[in-house]
Amino acid sequence: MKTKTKIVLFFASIFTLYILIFSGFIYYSISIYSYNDFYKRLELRAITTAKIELDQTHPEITTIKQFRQGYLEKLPNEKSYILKWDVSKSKVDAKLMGIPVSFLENIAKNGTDNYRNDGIFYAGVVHEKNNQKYISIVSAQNYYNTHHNAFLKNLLVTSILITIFLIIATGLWFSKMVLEPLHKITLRVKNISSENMHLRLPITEKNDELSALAKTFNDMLNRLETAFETQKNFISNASHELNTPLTFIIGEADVVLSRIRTPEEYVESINGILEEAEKLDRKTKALLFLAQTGYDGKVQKFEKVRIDQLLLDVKDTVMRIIPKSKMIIDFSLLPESPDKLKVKGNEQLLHLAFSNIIMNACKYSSNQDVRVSLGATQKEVIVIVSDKGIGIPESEMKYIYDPFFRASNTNNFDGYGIGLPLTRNVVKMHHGVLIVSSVEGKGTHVEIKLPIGNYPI
Amino acid sequence: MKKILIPTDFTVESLNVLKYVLEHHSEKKIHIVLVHGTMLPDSISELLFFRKNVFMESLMSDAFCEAKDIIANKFFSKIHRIETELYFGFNRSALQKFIEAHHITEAYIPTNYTFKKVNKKSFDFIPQIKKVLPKVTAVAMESDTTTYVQDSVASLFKY
Repeated sequence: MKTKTKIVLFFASIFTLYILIFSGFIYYSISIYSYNDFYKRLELRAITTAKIELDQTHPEITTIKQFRQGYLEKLPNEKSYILKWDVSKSKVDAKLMGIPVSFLENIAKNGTDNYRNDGIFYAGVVHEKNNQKYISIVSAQNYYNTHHNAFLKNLLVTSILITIFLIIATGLWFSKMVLEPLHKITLRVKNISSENMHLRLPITEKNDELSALAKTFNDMLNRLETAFETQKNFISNASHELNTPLTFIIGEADVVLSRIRTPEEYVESINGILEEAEKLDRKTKALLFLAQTGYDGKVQKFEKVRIDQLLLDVKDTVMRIIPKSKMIIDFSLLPESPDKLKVKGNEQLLHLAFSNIIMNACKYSSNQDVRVSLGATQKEVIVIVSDKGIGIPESEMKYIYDPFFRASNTNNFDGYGIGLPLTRNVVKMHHGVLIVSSVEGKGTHVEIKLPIGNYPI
Repeated sequence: MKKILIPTDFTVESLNVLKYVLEHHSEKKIHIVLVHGTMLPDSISELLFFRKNVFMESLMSDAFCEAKDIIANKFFSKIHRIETELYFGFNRSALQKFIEAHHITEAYIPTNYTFKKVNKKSFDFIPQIKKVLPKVTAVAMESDTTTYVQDSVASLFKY
């Protein structure tokens, strides 16, 4: 059932239950109080009746008679009975008076007792005279029970019914008011599809949960839109990148074949064609690799990799490819226990990822010092590559992971724009995190965090 | 055992003092207290629900915790315990009481370092440390040439 109905039902039932308990308690307490009050009055009358009838010679009798006349008004349907207590005749007496035997017996035993029969209240006391027990009983109709309590009961029932109605109405209005923004959001989001991804939800100034929901939705839409754009661009970028060398090859071949040339010219031409073809080959290989690592479904062989050893291997690779590079490995904060450096991963992929980042650092800082530091926290291994190179402009930071993207200040440097997306894919495959921070003109540092493999010692 | 006080502003830079202490101190096992000075909140409702540990965790950035872990793993056998504490008083006698309560015997403070406010109620109590504790060692910090926008673990590795 809908949330709105659920809310209303829930609150209405809780409130009704509470009101019922509340009114029930009040009604019950008032009834008990009025009963007790009435019994006390009957008792008082029973005592005075007994004294008047039985102690006629007592000097206080006149006082008591005056008291009774002055202060004790006659109750509706009031009847008094006095009987000599005789256990053998108790049943007959009880039947005569229309009261149960147990009532009489209790009075004789406890000195006093109450009994109620259908609106007529009885109270009885024991009076001793000349060693003979007498029982004095007064009965009357309880006006308060028949009239006031009945009125209270009716009043409470009517009020409860009205209250339930009001609660349901309020609940409906309230839940509608609360859920209205959600409804609005649902309607708007329905309109958003791949055609008009630029639509966003309106954000109010309020700082509440629904506003946070709208903001988060908008952020998600931003990311989705970027992803869509990236996909659209990737295809055009890829074909453009692959087209350029092909154009050169075709053009060069055409020109050379247009007339007869010297063997040296042919050799030169073919060398140029070979170079471009090799570039094309590297590009397609990188692209293929990127596509392969992008899929999580691909099962790669994962085993124990020691990061400190890996970094030393990467240093060799970098030295080989860029002989002038200056890569400094900082092991000053290496953990004491080497288990904290073991990561579950694929050595070739990690080697590729790290060498990409480090070679980028060397390249874009024109072979200045590149510092590679290694440390471990309780759960992760952290590798930091920092360089003092050209940096990445703030506005282009969100595009750095796009394949073939090259920042605006890279015109003096060679590159395809594939290294960073590839590295990020590899890091993601290893359930790690890649963080790039940079200040344009000052330098960049890249943090790679990989979860520790928890291999037993 | 000696207990060493190191003031911190919960940035990774300030942990370089910790690194220095662990590298150069002569003792075999060291017990360190990282202390951050901040004033208690003023309003009743904030004080009612104030929990020191929760408050401290909200001030410590991820990078700070990671950097602390890295250092702890490096000097594992030399560390007896590293604690983090908050200091609320702001005059000399308050600091005196704090030091007595925690049985602190010496302190290491950074020089040539600008204190950064991680919370608007934080304050710098380094000048008072010098007046209160007898044994205070100063650690010179290199001035930062490559300041990056965010506080990151990389600051540990510059020195």
